[in-house]
Amino acid sequence: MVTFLGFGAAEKLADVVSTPKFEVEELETDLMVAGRDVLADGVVALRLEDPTGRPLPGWTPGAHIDLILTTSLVRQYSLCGSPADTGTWRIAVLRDPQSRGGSDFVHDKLHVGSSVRVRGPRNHFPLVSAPRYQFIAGGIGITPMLPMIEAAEAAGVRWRLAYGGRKRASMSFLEDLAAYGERVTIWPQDEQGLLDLQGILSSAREDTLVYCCGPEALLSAVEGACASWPAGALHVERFAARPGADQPTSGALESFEVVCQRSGLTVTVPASRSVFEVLEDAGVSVLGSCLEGICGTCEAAVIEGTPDHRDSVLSEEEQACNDAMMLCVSRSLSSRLVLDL
Amino acid sequence: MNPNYPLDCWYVAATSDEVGSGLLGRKLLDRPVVLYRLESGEVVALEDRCAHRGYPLSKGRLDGDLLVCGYHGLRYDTAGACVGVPSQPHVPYGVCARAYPVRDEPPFIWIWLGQPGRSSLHSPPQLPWLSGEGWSSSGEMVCLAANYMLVHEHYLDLTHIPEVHPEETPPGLEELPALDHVSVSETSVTYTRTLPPAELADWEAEATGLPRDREYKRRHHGTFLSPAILAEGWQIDGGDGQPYEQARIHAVTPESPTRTHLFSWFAHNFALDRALIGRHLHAVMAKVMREDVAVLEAIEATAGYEGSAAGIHLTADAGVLQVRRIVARMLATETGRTSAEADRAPRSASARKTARPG
Repeated sequence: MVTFLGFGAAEKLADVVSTPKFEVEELETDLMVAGRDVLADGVVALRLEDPTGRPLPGWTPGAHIDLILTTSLVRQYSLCGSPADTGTWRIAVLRDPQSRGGSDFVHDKLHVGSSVRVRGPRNHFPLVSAPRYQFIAGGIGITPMLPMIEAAEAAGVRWRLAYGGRKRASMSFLEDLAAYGERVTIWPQDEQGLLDLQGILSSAREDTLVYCCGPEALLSAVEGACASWPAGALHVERFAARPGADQPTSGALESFEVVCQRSGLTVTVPASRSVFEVLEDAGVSVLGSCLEGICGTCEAAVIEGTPDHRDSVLSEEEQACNDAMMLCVSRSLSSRLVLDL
Repeated sequence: MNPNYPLDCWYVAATSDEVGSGLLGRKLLDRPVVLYRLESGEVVALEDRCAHRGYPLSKGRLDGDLLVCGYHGLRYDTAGACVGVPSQPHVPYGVCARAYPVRDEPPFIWIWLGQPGRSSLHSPPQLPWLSGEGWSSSGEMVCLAANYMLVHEHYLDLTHIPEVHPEETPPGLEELPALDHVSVSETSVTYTRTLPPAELADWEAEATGLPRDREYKRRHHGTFLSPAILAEGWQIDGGDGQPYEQARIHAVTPESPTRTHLFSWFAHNFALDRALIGRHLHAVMAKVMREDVAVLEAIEATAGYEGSAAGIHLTADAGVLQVRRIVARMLATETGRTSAEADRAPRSASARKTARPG
């Protein structure tokens, strides 16, 4: 039988004994490490393929996948290969000295031939069509920029990349990027100091979109430098929660009611539990991944009530609209939230 | 209504058989397109409009590999560049008919009508049922008066089968369960539904040759591969270790916001040596498609897609809702809206009225 990824257990119909519980989930599958390369100091790139050679689902620049390394160890990595390659996904992983186990696992335990559970892809950093892009990458934050550059090139639009890193030897993909000449500025910190964001961003143009991925210090600095840019011009992707994002707003309620309009279900969220957990237990079909307010998977539309936003996905303006919330970390300022679930 | 289809996507323009020695004119995504084959067999797609007075090039003729307009005789090369004007010695600079990227992957010819450069970043989905070993396939094409998303949403929720196709419904499955499982990625939605054991419908019995005096497990599954393709599978467990599998491939190509070219293909993996079985299944599927078309055209003629999409959702719509999100995101990135707006648009009650796909 010929299948696409995601048909899952359908392969042996005779084994199906009872109707499983209805669920909407993100695509999950076991892939094989088909290639492993050391790209720079502390950075390995993995090529992942379906062990039976089935085509992988499509994705667009900015997409990432979860590697489910163990049941409690799930990490997100941007896809850095070409979206045109439907047989292979490519990721690059920096060994983080402060690793909580994820990057160490990838570096030490995933070899050519290893099997790894993968979820996704999803994309909360999509490359919106524009006549001009300014890409800014810090360190391993270069990964989502590579397919973005490929797409900008294919579309024939203008782009520039400012790429900072601790030192040249720690920076991946320098050889690939050299082909683009002066559109790419390589900025090793030990040679030139921090990226000159004022210089890069001083000439704000109405038609330019800024895409930035990297460590928190860089993201905060870019957010500051883009404060005067048109709303919606800056797109950032975080690897960790925005500092202070998880703090409650004044007036946040410890316990509140959540009404799921479509399912016709009402639940009470106690102080000790997240909206996501309570809904999941109540049998509401919700998607979730990082559960830290970073990945955006559990976003739900808010029909009524005012959320207490504690996520790092929505911009301040988006949070102020109060028409969407991240169920995993955000809570409520009103005693009742009505969600489109 | 406004167009609600992404342009940056490979759509089926025609079947490989349709493009032979002549010129095939067809409206795709509200653009007139002419398709033809070069002497080498390679397929070319050009804007079906002469740069001079707008006469459809598909009404002209081929002179070797050159396309000659049937009005004043302007001649176009395979890249769409005008290379000859009979009434004057020189060709005006830069005159051309836009050429579209095409791929001839039988049984379909695919076309890219979006931003030309981006075509290289995408590939038409592979459809192994239609070209692979172990499958026999056939199909036909209709143009129906309904928005393309009505077609997708129809096939994403097969709980319509007992009402719309009562003769093809297996006895005992008059109430089809909702989906068991929906699995989503950035660009695809896959769903499965396990059906309670039931006897064979007439068409199933005739096709499989399985004995009628018992009940069979079935599984229905499908994948929305792109706005152009929905692939479905219908498996019957024959109890003999052999899955009797049928695949239905719906290639959905908007002609305009209110009309759709539907290339409805069907494949099966059993009784491959018996041509009669294939013809029988083809006839059953043709009847089913006529019934589907009648339903979809009735909705378009009354509620329209926007009215349909504003309706309430049932549990069975889990796949539909995920597909709407994917299409909304595709439209948003293509038109330059922000992703956050797109993500929310199809889900919030207020935005549903204006969101393009839903």
